[in-house]
Amino acid sequence: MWLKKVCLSLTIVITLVLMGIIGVGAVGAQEKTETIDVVDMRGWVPTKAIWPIAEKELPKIGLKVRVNAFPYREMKAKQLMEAKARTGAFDVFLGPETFMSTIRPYLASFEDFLEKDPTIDLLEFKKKCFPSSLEYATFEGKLAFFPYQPAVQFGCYRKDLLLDPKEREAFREQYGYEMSEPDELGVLRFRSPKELLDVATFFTRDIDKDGKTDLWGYVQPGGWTHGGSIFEERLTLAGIPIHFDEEKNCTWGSKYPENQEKAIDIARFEQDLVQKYKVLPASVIGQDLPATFPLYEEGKAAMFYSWMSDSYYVVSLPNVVERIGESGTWLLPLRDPKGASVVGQWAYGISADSDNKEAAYKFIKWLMNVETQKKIYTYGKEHGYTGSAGPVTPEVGEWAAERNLISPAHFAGLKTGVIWKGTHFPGNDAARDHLKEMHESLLAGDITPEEFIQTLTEKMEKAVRRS
Amino acid sequence: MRQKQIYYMSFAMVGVIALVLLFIVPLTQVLYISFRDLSWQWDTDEFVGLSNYIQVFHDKEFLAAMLRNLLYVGVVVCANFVIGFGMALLCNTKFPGNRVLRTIIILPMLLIPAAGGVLWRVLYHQEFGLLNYIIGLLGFSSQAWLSQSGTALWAVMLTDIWGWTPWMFLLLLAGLESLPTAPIEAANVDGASTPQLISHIIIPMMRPIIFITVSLKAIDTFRTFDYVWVMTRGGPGQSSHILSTYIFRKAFRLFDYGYGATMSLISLMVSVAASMVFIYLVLRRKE
Repeated sequence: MWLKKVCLSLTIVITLVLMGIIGVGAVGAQEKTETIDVVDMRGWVPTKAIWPIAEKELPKIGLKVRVNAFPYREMKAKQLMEAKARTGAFDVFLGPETFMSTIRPYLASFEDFLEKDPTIDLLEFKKKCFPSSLEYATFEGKLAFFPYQPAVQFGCYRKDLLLDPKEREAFREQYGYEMSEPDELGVLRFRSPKELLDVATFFTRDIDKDGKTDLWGYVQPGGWTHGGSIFEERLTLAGIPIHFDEEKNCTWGSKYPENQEKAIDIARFEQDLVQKYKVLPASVIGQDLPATFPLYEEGKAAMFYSWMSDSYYVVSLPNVVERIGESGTWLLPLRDPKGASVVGQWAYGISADSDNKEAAYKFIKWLMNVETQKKIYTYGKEHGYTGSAGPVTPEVGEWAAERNLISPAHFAGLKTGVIWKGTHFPGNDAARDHLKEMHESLLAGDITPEEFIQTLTEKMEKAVRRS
Repeated sequence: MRQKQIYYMSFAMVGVIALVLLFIVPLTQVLYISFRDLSWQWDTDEFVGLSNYIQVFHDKEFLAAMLRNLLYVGVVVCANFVIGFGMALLCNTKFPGNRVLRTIIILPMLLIPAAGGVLWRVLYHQEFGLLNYIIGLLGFSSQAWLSQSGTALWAVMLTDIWGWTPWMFLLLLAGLESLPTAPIEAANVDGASTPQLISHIIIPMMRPIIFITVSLKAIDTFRTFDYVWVMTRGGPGQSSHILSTYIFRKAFRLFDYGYGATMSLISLMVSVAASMVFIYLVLRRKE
């Protein structure tokens, strides 16, 4: 009997000791892995491939990421709330260029981390970035955040239409000149807005003669950011820097009459696409990219243009290829030899209130690594989506473009792309909001091009001068 | 007696505490913010007195949104009543399939407004929408209903009418079913036609119920947000902005909280004024 009691007691003691050892070991293991909170945009393709790779690789460097994903509109508000309240709830912030400049006062200096890191050559890193990315990320001479995803607008076109010899012959007969061809990288760029209009008109067709357009020559979003951005792109392609000089004058406002004339022409061109030439359907007005892209996917458009980097992979999906054939990519025509695409820039920043700043920097450093970026692209491709990340550097961009992991047009546009000037002015977001809203009225024909430009530039200047 | 009063008051206190926490406290905070230039966009937070209020009354876009809001309420509530009352009169009669019809009528109300808005966005689509398909079959050209400033708000109003007429129908049907049958039977015996029955007997007897139902619907419609935001976001341009969407855009898209708070309070005052008129009329009726 007493032997049984002794054995039982020993068993209990040994079990408790073992549990204690395991428990301490587990805690010890946990303490070696730091967990950081990173903000993400729910369903966003450019970051989709990061997390599965991060889950495998980050623990090797003692790091774990907790992804806090929000819809776009909530994402900005949520981050601002936490930043202003100085909660340190997020260690790494994410946002587009205008937002990062708003939240910059709550960021730790990214350049300071790079300078302290003996494995990073700061100058080399800066040399490797796209010039526009560097310009966006630099405030008062220092890098404020890590420019992760630079993007340009580009389009896709139906190869079975625009590259078909019979169609091209018919176009030449109708218009008296040859339609432009893609360059050696496969990027199509029309010689002029007139050629774009001619091609769009040529391909706008009532195929079954029922009085209804079955194929639209050109489709783009006509609402909000996606719609307004194309107007902005036409301005930069005309060589007009957008939108403000250092005195907060709109660069196509009354202080710049020559630019203003160009802007009015551009506004008229856009309005006429819908109202006069009817090559762009009125149904796009007020609609953003996800609502208008189906027109192309479903075979109702010969060309589409927008921020395609996220949705570029869609044109390669088997069911889409089966329906409309293969797609090429194109850029809007230049209006001035000095013209360039406008670059949108998403970036990561380290919160000044983070308790894990070093860990946050480790995460970003991991993202900065060229091999990580290549893995992200490859993972995206393997899982059915391309363009999963904007190329951080031209080196990665070239690598990805060669493998069709990003659109050649995307890469071509980035190389010479220009930034939105004045994104560091408070109120810049509000100014652009006026543009997005009034652009809808322009396309709808509710306002003349002259009124659009004059009223809009006044509103935009008022918005940035408010502070 | 005094103990009873304390006992009853303790129950009422729960409601009072809830009212204070959920209404008075936030309202006070909004009032406080309305006197400040509080904006995350411009990174400002300073006392500005009545500047926001003065600015609102000079804000043409706000005033336009207010007028659109009143138009919205007028059109939607009238349509809700006319269609709802008509359906209630029909369903108050006996015929085969009455119950099935009642169920079908209330179906739109079961769909959350945001989902209803998405559904109607697809229905209105110029290329893929069912509405334009039917219009095409009738020989008319398709329209971009939500992309034209002349039709966008009307298209949204139609969706709202579709979504909330069932509510009006239910309340008016309940009212009709509760009416005493004697006057109606007497009128029938006297040879009154159906229009005479409705206009001279039913409507006068239903007046209090109609009044309450229409007034409540008007107050609720004044605050509409979901249909407009989901379907047009106030566009194209600002042609379909009503007060709620305009205020939402200013406050939460542009982070201009001081100005947004001011507009919210003015909107609340308009709503309260309308409610007070309604309460006065109800009380006067009782007298």
